[in-house]
Amino acid sequence: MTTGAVRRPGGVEVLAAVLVVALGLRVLGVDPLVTPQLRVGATVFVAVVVQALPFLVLGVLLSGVLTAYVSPLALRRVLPSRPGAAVPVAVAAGVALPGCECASVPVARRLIARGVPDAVALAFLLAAPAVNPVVLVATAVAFPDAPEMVGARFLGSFLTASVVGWVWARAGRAEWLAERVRRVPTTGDGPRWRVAAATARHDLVDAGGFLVLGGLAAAVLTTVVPEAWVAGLGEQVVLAVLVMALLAVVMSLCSEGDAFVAASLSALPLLPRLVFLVVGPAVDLKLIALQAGTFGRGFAARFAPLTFVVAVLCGVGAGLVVGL
Amino acid sequence: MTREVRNALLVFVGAVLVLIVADGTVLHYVRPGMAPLVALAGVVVIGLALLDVARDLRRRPEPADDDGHEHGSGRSAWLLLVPALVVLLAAPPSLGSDAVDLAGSRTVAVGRAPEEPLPPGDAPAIPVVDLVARAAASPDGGALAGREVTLTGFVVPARDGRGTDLARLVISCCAADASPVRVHLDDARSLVGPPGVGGDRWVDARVRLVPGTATRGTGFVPTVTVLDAVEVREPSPAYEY
Repeated sequence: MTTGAVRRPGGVEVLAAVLVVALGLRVLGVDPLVTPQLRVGATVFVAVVVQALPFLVLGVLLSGVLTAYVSPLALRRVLPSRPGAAVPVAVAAGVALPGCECASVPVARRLIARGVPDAVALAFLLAAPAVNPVVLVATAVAFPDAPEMVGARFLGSFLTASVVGWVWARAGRAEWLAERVRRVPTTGDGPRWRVAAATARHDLVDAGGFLVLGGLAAAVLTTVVPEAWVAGLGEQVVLAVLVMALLAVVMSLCSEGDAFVAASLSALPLLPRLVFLVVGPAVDLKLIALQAGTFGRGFAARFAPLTFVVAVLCGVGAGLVVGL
Repeated sequence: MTREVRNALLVFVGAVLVLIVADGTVLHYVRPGMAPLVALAGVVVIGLALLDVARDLRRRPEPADDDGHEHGSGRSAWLLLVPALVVLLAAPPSLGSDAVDLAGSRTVAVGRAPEEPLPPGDAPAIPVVDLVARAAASPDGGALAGREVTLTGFVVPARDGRGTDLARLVISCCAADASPVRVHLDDARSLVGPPGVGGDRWVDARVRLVPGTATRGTGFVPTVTVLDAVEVREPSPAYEY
């Protein structure tokens, strides 16, 4: 706000005004949730965001530490130099890191900023939420009568992350990622913990708004669409696979809870439900919004369809291999 | 968005996270195990903002620490206000019969039945999902055979429109994955009463399982005979896990 220019209301004033209006409405006892859809939608929206925020915070803290304490050289020493060989290593690293999909987005971003090849970081991004022990145990608990679902899910998600990584290594272009991704925050002087805090704060603000957008879209679509899609799909397996894949994108469930929803759709055969579990952690509305915010819209427009197609194919493939 | 606004926004969002854990609203949205993590996340968010504020207080602001592209992508940060305001203004309630309606035919998958005996005492309280799992596992409900138990749930119309069911929502991660579980009420004396209008009616119902009713044909919705019922307040948490 420079002196001399016409003074426009700044951010602080807007924030204060919004809070005062909100408080006023609260005091007047206005209840905006007037229809059943609004009530359910609002609860689902807040639930998605509240559930995801702790994981996003964990992710941005990790990305801060990564930026401040891990040198690009150390990363280069750990990873095989050829992206093609490094992709499976990154996927395996994802297995060992139990995280939510929201946590892995900022981490993948900072891996790229630290010089890790795009394809390798993206393979990690897909693997970390999908094939970690917590998710596999949850799947085993949700499908007590079909233990083969666990292996099939592992196989499908592992393949999805690897194949997308390899495709990106061959066909991906550096300029598809927003230029800011590669820039390192210029805190320069301060101690390392301050660099870590600045990076974490920056990533949180960058990603947080988009997480909200994704949660909003998921809540609206979850309330308006799905049950009618699923009813009566019973024996049409091909159609069921496609509908379940789309449903996974729409519902944006956390990867530790989606197995229970898949289990509850007991009218469907196992194969479409497996596809639901493979697609969900790899690509959903919440993730697309997060990725668009973090890596740029041009990136998300290419990465989301690629991941969706690969995940559906790998899910079906894994299901057929395991014999669902 | 300037750094001052961003920091104020982060403190506000962090405070809302801590607040909903403190007053228990968080149980409307996630399972109890997540609550400490939500509070911790709130504290971390506040801490990150205050670190920056503290630095501003100690010396004059210098070029933004965040490589100066505060405009553009920075604007999306305003969206963080939306869930915080929704929580403060509307305090979305726990999911109830609205969500059961929207869930259509989807019901909780009954996994392995609990093997432990029922709690001791006359008509012990057990989760609805526990009764359904036991009833689906064996025709007489195993440990339920001949026993009376107390169920807590809200009243909804039966799926075929005849009579009423007692329902509960089961969540595994957050309210977005809530799945309904229900028992059909054989309630000749209308002890339970009709579904609530303009809000759910919660009841504690003393019931006995009708053997052989949780079959594939009924969608694993067992029928129970109602022996007694009292209206109660919505429990917290309102979900089963």
